Amino acid sequence: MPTDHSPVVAQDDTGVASDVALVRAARLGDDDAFGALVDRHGPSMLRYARRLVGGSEADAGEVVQEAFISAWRSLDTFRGDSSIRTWLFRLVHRRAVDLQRHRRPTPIDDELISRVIEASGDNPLQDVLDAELLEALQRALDELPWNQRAAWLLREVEGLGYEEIARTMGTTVGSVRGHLHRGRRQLAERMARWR
Amino acid sequence: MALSQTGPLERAAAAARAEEPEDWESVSRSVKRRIHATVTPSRPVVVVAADGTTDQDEHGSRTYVASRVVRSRLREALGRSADATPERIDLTVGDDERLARVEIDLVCAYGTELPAAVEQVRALVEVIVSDLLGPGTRAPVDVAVTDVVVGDVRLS
Repeated sequence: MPTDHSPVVAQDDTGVASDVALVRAARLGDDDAFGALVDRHGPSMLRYARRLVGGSEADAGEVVQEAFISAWRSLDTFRGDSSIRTWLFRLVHRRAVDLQRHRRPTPIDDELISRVIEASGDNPLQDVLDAELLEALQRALDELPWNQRAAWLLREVEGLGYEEIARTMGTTVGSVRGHLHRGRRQLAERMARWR
Repeated sequence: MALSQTGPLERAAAAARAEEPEDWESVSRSVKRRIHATVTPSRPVVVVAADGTTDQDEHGSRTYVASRVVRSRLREALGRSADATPERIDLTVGDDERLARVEIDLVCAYGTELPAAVEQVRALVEVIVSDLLGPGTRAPVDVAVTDVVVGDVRLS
């Protein structure tokens, strides 16, 4: 008897399934195909969520999990007007907004910040500098208005285009440009002592 | 990240881009576990014998197969070809609990002979439906080609 979870999408030596092919299969109930999307886009979604919600590992994990569950349940509503990546980032953004509305800001855990950095091993001094920089960056981000923080992270860390950021945040490209301009200026001022 | 002459914000952004969340694996496992546990909407479909009856014995016992099982089996079987793959599989179940109609939307690879691909899909659907729901289940099978893509349809 077949199960409800039999994979459709080929994962052989000839190539890697595109997002479009994975979405197509996932819409038909192929949870292995959806799992491939999770592993493809999840790490950057988690990184974005963590920086956005103030560095909390637990909050970011919850935001990303809820975003993926929502995506799985509403895949039929994804029409392909944007990429699946942009759509997933939008779901993360919405969940993070909901979380912030219902919770007080979470203090930054210094130990956490230092743990999430991949140690290169060959340059301990650089690792320490990076850790301290990221610590300072998180403090500076936490002081930014929400939209500026989100726009800066999506552009400078996740590499999304202006149109993608606008879709993710549910705003216009013009607003994104404004948020980015102000966010960059404020962050540069706050980080200036590291020069 | 090498030491450089760029500003502190640029260096911090580069360090942030290089981050790999170490708890990703546990988040991923949790997401997949929850997805797997999600119950797909389904209806019971009655098995029909070759003579058109649904009674399995003299007491009127009936056998049912969940529509999600039928859909899953169709998805698995139709998704193995590099030339054509389903992007929609809809099953209509009648008030009498019999399968009333199967509708398939197909994506085909550029260069595929479409009428042949459609007939192949229809034949395969009929075999699977008969296998799962009994030889007396003779639902119409509508197949529509809704898109054509370049390359292996399982990957494109």
